[in-house]
Amino acid sequence: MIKILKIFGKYLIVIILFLIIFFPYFWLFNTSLKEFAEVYVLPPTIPPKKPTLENYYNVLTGNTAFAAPWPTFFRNSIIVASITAVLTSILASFAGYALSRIRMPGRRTLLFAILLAWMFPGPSILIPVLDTMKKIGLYNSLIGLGILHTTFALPVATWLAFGTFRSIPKELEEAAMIEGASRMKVFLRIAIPLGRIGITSIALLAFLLSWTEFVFALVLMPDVPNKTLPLGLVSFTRDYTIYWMDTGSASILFSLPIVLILILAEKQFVKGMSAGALKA
Amino acid sequence: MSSREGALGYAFVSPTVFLIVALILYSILRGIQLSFYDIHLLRGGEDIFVGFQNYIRMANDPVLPNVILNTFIWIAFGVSLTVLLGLATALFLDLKFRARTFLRVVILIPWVLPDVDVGAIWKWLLDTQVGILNQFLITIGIIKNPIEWLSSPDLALFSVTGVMIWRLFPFIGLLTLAAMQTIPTELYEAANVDGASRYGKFRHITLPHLAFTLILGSLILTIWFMNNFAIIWITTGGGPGHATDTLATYIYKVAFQFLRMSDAATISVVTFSIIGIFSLVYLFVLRKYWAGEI
Amino acid sequence: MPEVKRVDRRKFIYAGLGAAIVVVGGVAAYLATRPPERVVETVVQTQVQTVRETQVQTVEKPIERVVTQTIERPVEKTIVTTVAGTPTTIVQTEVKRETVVQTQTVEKTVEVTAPTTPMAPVTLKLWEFGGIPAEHDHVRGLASDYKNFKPYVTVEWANQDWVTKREFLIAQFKAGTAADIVTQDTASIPDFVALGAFQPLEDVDAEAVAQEKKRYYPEVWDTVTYQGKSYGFPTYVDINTMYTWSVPMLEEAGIKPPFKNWDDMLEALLKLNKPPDRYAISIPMSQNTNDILIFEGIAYANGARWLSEDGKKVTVNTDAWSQALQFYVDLVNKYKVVPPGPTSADYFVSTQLFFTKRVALTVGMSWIPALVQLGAFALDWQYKLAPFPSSPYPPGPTIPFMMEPTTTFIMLSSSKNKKEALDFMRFAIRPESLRAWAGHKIRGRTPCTPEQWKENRNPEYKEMEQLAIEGKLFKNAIHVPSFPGIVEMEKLLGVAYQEAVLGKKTVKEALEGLQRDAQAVLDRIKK
Repeated sequence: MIKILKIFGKYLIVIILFLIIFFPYFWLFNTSLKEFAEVYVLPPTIPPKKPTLENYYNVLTGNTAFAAPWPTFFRNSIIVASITAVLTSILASFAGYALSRIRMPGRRTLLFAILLAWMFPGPSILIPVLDTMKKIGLYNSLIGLGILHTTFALPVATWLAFGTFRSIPKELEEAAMIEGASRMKVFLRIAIPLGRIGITSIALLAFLLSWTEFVFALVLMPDVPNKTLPLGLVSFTRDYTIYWMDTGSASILFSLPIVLILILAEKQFVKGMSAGALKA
Repeated sequence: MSSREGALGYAFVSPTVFLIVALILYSILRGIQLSFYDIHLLRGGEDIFVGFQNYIRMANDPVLPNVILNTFIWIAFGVSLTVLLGLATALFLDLKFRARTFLRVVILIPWVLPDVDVGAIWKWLLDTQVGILNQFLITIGIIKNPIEWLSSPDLALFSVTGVMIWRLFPFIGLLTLAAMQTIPTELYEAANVDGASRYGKFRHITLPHLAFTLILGSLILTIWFMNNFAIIWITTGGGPGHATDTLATYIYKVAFQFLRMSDAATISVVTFSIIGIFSLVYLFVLRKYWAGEI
Repeated sequence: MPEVKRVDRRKFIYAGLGAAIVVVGGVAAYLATRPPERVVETVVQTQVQTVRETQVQTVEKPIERVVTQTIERPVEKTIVTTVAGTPTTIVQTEVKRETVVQTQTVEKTVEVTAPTTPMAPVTLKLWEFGGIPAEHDHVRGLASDYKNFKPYVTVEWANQDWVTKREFLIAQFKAGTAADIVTQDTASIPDFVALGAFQPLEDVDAEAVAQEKKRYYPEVWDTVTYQGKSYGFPTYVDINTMYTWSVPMLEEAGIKPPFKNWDDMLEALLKLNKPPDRYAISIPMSQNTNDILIFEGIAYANGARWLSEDGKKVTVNTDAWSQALQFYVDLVNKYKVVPPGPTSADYFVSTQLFFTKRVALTVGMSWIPALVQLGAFALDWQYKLAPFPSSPYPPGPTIPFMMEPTTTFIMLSSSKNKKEALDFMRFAIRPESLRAWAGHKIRGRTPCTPEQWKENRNPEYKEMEQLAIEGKLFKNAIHVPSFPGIVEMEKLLGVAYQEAVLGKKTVKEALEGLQRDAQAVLDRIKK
């Protein structure tokens, strides 16, 4: 009897958790199946009276009210987020390894200074950053945005990489070095393979940060062919009304690739997080 | 270890440092510089060096104390509840049940949408009159009159904090869950042999192992909460009154609505100092957990 | 915890000190070595001349096309006649004459130029902020049609987000990456002029501007005039503040708007109020700019003004303001005719409440029909709009309403091709283009030129039409408050009216506080 109650309790929690997480999504999904004239009906209709998949079709073909070219936005976001993920994981690995393994003066200062760079309020650096990006010719460029997102992801990523390499037993590396291997070789042949799960999770984290970044993408990408998905999503919020059926279907389409990646990477991600820093 | 190796170490770190210096440090320094000049875009003219005048004026800003108090509440409630909820989620997901793998994946979903979108959705859901949450609660008979989630000055700050928690607790949950996977099972087995209680195991084995994760996680969260303006900006715009204005939204307003660039920079520097000093103390207290010897 | 040694405490302090020294040193070095950068950049006019000189005769063909295009539209004109009730002949001659003016000016530029070298291609960037889909199609169409008019000019159209338009444009201007032409609201003209971002059009071609000016009502042209210079070409105006009522609901209650004054209105509201199923009126009171403008419109119609005559003193502690605010507070708290939670109900929400029959009236602007055109609400009942009245005894000079052209073509001072940009802007407001905003393509926009009114196709504005054609509609109407600092003051007003409505402050306290803070805003700019 108690056992049954326990199982019941478990699944009750599952359902509650599920509801909390999915409540907005559920509502977006419900709305995404509606026609515009039904979106603002009060009391709201669940399920829609005339369910339609038209909104999804419209979003995918760019046939929405504002003719947003979603395939282009999608491609841009993939490019920017991939650049961010790759660059961040490489740079953070190097930095994290050096900071956790190589004896050098000012190591902790550096670690702290890197974190410090992440703390300045965004609105205040918006204009100078835009200015810098323009001066070095990275304004209105996907690669430029990728590099900027990399820079924003690096502080956290470096700390996570620092933890990843710190949690790998030193003995292996020390043994290799006694046998005459160079530090570079140790890093590439021993540390990277052992820390790969942690590095994967850093890449995923960087990907997500870039995938959702809005403000800098907004000011750096004034041309429609260069805009990313978050800008496209916001374009449905207009001066007079919000096209919720489009926002809903776009949000769901927008989340799908990430969910797919997460499902594929679930084990890696969870394990990677554990290797990643966070073990004492 | 040779000095050559030290040089290699710096070489490893240099690309990261280079990017940060090139793209962010300049902007931060520019911000700090602005805070010593009197720059109001609506006035134009020469930029005058005014020393600490901006700081003095901001110290007398009638709104700022309230804003700082709001920020404090927003961070204190937000971070502690996010960590607690994240911890609970992690403990739960560590149990064995069907759909666990699935839940571990989908739990990150609040993280996939941009802030601006999350803000807009919740603004709609929480609206007093047309929001689905009130409609739902009224329909199932829990409440009679609509709850003023975002329109009541007493409730609004907690509502937006809730939205932020919704967005971030899965991150902390997964972080903690991951750390829990690294606790050697032998420890629990040994405890079982000793006949330890469930709580005892949690208190003496799980928690100490999670301490670092939770502490670093809350530092990351604190910085996120401090600097996030999009959620509040979209849902309430800082209102009603100043009830949900935090430092981040206030900076945004002062900079881009009021065009008082040096005032915005001044508040930014203050914010930056608060969070910087806080982190320094924080990391200092916890130094034995992270700054290990090589 | 495996083998983590205690770190030396001193080492840590050194680390922190080191970081601090690096930062402080960096700042010091930076401050010492770098002269302060001027924030307001003065943009140098370049290349305009050379571009003009390379223009060639190929322009001539497209001109003919423009002329034929306009003449080829007799069908539309007959439709106009039925709607507007004006004689067809008048409309036709009107259009023809305007077209002639257009061609003349273009020919003139051709005459001036020496058609020797081939045309240097010119690219103009056009950013349209916000707008409804029909407006997009139209403006994008203008950009692509321009190729037929001037083959060597490419107009790159992009729509930009409305909600973030201010910060977006400021950031782009500061970085020198802004477009040549933008569509903006006119209330922000003083701010952007102070920034040096908007181009006075007279400095580009005074004669051309004078010609366009003649086509507008003088009150409308005032909205784009600041410190004696013109900054843009309006396409329509939003009228502010208007109330909208459900015709069936008011008929059922035996009420016949328009209302003479607030008392008259209040009486009707109390009759219509049947909470919680149906409240009498929804009023948006969030901190959204639109909502604040709506309140300002009511106060202004009651004789309130932000500034004294000389523009040096803020005057929000007057009776006209406090009556208006008291009216808001009473509607919410005393008479309870407004649905609960107005402080988070923005104009989206309050119009939604109206169109879903939760309220009998709503307060907004003249754009309410635009929402219906968008298809957000399927209606099988009628609604009407009228300007919001004043109190029975207004303590100041009343106005019929305030207005703001929210899609105004404005040139940025950073444009490298100002002459070409101005030519495109004139192209965008040709009669056959402006007509689109008079309900031909785009609904819910109040026409702002006599020629537009003669072709009005918005049935909702039928009552205004005759007045407009007689030239009386805009008499005494004024531009929404627009002077440097207004944006900040309006935000302060947003906070003040919310605090009064929420009972945090009395009306007097709220306005006294606003008076003090707004005066400080003004003083800082004037200093």
